[in-house]
Amino acid sequence: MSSLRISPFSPFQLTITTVSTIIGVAILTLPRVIAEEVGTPDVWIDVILGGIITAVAAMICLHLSNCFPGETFYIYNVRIVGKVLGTLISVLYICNFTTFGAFEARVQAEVVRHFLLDETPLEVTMLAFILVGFYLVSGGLNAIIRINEFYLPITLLIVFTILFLNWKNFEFDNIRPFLENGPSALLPGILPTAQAFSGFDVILFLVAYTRNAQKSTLPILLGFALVTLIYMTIVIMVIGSLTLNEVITLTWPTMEFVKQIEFPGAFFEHFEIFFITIWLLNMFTTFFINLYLASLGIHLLIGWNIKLVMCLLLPVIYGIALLPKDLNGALELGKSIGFFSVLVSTLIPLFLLLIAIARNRPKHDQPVNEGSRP
Amino acid sequence: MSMMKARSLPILVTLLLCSAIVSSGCWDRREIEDLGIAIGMSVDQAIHKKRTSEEEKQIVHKHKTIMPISVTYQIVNPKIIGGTSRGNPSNQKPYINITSSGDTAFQVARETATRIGRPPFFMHLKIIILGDQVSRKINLAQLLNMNLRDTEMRRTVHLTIAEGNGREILEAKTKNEDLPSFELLSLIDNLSKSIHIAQPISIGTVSEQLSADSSFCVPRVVLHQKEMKLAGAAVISGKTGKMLGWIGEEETAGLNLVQGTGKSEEGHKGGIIEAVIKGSRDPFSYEIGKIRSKIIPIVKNGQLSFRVDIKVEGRLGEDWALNENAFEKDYLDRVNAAVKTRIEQIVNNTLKKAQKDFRVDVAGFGKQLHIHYPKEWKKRKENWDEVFSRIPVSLDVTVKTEEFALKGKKK
Amino acid sequence: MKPYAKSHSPELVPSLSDNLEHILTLLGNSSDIVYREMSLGETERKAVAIYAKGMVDQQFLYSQVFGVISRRFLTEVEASPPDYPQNLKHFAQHASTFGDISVVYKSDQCVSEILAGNTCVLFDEYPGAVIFGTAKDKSRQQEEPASEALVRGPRIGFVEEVNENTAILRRRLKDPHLTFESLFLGRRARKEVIICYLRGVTNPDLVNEVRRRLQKIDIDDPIESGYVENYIQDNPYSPFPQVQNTERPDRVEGALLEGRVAILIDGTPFSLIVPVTFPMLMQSPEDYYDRWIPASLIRMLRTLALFFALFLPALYVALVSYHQGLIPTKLAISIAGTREGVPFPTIVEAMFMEITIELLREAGLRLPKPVGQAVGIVGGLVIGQSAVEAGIVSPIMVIVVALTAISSFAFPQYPAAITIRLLRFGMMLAASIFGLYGIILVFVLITSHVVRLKSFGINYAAPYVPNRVYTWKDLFLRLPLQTLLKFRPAMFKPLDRNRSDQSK
Repeated sequence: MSSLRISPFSPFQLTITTVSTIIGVAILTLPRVIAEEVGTPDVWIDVILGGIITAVAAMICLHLSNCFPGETFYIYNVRIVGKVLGTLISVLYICNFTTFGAFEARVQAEVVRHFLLDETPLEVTMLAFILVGFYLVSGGLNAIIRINEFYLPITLLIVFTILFLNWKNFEFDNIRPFLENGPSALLPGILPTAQAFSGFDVILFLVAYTRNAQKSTLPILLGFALVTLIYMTIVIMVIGSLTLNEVITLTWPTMEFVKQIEFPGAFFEHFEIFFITIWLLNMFTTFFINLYLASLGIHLLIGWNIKLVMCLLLPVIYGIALLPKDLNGALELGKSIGFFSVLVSTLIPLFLLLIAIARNRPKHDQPVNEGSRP
Repeated sequence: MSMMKARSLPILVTLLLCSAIVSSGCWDRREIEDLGIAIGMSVDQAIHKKRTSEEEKQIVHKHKTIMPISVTYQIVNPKIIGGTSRGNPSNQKPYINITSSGDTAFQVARETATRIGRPPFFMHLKIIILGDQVSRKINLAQLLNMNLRDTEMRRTVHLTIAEGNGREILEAKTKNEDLPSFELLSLIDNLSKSIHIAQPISIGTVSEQLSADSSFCVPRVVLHQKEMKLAGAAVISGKTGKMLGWIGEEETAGLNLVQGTGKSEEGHKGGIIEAVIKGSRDPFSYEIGKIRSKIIPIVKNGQLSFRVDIKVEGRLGEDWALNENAFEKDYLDRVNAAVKTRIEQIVNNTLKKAQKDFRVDVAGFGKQLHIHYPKEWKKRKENWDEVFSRIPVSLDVTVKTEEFALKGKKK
Repeated sequence: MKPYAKSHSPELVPSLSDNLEHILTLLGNSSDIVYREMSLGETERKAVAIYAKGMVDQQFLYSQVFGVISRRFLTEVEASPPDYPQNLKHFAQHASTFGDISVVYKSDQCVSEILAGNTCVLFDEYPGAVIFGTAKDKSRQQEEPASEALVRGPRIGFVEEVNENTAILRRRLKDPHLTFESLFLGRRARKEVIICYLRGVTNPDLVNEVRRRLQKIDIDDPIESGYVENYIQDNPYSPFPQVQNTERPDRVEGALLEGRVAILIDGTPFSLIVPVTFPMLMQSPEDYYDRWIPASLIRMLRTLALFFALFLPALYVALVSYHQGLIPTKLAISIAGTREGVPFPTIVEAMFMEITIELLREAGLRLPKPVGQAVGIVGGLVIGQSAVEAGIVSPIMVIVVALTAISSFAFPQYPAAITIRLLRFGMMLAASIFGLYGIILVFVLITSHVVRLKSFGINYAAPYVPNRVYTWKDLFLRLPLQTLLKFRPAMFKPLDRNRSDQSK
């Protein structure tokens, strides 16, 4: 069991990993998805609401994990609900992560085909993506954490620069009127927004390896604030530049938004190079952690060497990624996974927490279960 | 599984990847010199050719009612422009115009690929010129659909409508640039210098307006002694997407005054208004610096009306009334008054044309209503263009003169 | 100390002729070994001095050693009761004004001392030998190292003799905590290797690890520090250097003060410094000698150079072959125009030019100095121009390649430059297959590798990763020394983090 060799990391690094996991496909599709649901230009308020709700859910996850210091979710959920149900839940999560990873691979292939490489078959793009992902993930959790730290500053820099550069195209009138149909009209938009925030359930698994995990509350909340800020700014800028009705008709509204930046005569006329680059990097970071946690689950359940498990998962992921027939199919898959994931990430931890409290959760000075600490 | 095998697995897998890639080849590679870089394109009404009966039978789809269109691509010939040491005699044109006809733009594009060695490449397309006839008959959303959908084209492509055939514009004589397309583009860049030219519009904006069913204007380009010129605009109905008619230079100025500086990509910084001071016969030119206008919807007792507040700042450009003394404050007041009268005249003309002749809301009144009174908007938005033509609009114009340049007085 | 030979080495015996014979067997009949017989005083007793001609300071030897032995040995030694081991020691302590003098009892020790340039004197009836330290200081002139020239900075470099090098370091860093630990590497060559660190500052775990890795080396002869580097690095398969090498003592000095460990190896002026991270390979000592604003700007320029050197040709290939729409229109037309008539696809053109430049570079290195410079410049210009004239490459390609080459010269340390050259080709290949996507994939691969790499326990990507902003003060910019030199970098886990007076 101790072939894992994971060095503990800080709460700050936990936050960075969580943020990197959350930021993924949603950047490109979020404006359209919530605009479709709600139909008014004030949907950015939905983003804030979604952020708050998922932040609360994340706090539940954090709290739950802190009741079992040093143990990762796969281990302690068995302790709470018993072997059968616990294993079932673990398997559920493993499937969730695997499918999510496949979805990431598929969507990035679609976007790459759309904007970069027209003719290259999806199979090849996805294969390359998955294999490169495997190279990093075989370096273990610490490698994943470090690479998230590597990419996040670059991402933030470029995202905010691009948002700022599009200032010219932004028209304030496009996001008015506010609360046109009353606040209740915004409610249907919360679900798709929450889907955009999915991925925070990695907290359940990573807290086990975090030093000073009790001090993680503030960093995680700040991380959520950051993601909310990014999403909100993107939604506002995209709708403000393209108008709501247009956004509903565009497949990848954020990309169109980026393509609108023009500094004629300046060297870079076309800024989408940068945007596509950081978007791809973020797809990678989300994929890395999904692959790892799925492998971790199988490793802890069955006991095979984790690198072997990763290798075996690769064809599975590839297979799932090939399943959707076309772009619409892929996006549908995304919707269902997102929905499912939100359900799983909010309800199950809550459920488990309540049971744990009911059963008098173990105190911190009780001996910790062997088998998870490196 | 031993650790040894697990450690070499990543290497093995990476090697597999490399071999798979190298053996299958690169799919998307196209060298840049093999491309036909299209800078401009025009869409016109095709000469209606009678189809023979065999062709009738071959047509699988029943699109006989759609008027075929003729599309011209202006493809740059880089050898002439770019090539340096391997010089070419300069009597070759730096561009090629190639025209094909078909039912839809996409069909035409594909057909063009059969006729020219370098298939057209649209990512550098900068401008689209529509002929006025085809704009009147076909919804712009249909004409431009390929451009908006295909990833090769960008949303920032400019749109203009030509009086007559767009193709002729692409063959016009150029003064500064190599290609007529570039020439037209630089003209559009000059738009900020004059309020008599309509604001440049990109197909992205066109799409946005059409999605919202709101009407808008597209700059008009005409051929004047074989050279191109921008003058006035074409009015497009938001509902049908078809052109309704032309508005002249003065009406365009009125439109710009109503919409103000803030609306376009670069504000209208310039533009001259000629006015005459009451009582005098000599005209003077007033140069507009800033236009700040606001459209304010007013709802009183369920009745809707609009007020347009226009604040203009500018300077005295040229004064033919030599007897006047610009240093006197009184004089400037009279200048301001004269300009105000003139502006009111221009704007009212424009509004009359929009409301009475075309019966559309081109200036974005509806949007302001939507923002300030969403409920009222909801009530009226179905037939907004019709509704708008009946709504009274009042003006409130303020003119401020900043300075009068270097010369103030005659003596 | 490593045993010289595995076989059991005999002790010296009281018989002079036996000892002599034994040593002769060990040393063979080399012409540079001298056996000088001497008589002790007025008696018939003999002593033999054995030394390697050319390695000893002859004047010293003749005046001090021989004189002392022949005149004073008997008087000093035999005056006291015959107690053989003690007598020799007594002699060593009292009889000679010599500085470096010791007594040994094994023949292999004698042999190694002789080979080190010292003189071994065997005495009849004594089972021991006295070693006089007569090694000559023969080192070359200290001059500024050619490979690491600076505009501003001390113009000294290490030399081949390790003892000379330790002296240089001592002179610069007069801290009593400066510690040198000596060990010998090499089964045949027995080169002295010295580990340098600051006691009380450097983390002892690091020193222990260095010592452990050095002791594990089983090699014939570490000819150059590169041999040692190859053995002690963390990942031999990585394209990135995990050990820094330098000829400059000021670099070593700076490194020691940061809590790193230096390794000096006899026979080469190139010393090793561990641990190292990639950002350090992009730094030059000159950054600290200049003022902070110009230094920061130059750092940023270097980052730009890194970007160009790694990505530029690949980006060119990707954009021109795959994503023509992303190039500004006027530029695209220019490029298309100049590429008319070029028979090769972009990737072939790029590879051709890059390989030519690499060849030119290597050629320039091997030619004698004055010719080498000319070949580099002229060769580049001429070949580039001619290739364009012949229509084999486009002029833009030449510019791209030239810019890339210049950028890679901007690296302050050669190993980093080599790494980037290697990676650049990988990028180009990826770009030629997948365009921009390929570049991104390779970028992710490279960063994945860098992030997994460790140099003696330190992350190779530190201090950028982990993201602690206060560690970035020496990364992209170079903040004023007042800020920089308050604390030692935490990543080396030094024992004493303060560099300035904290009570102020």
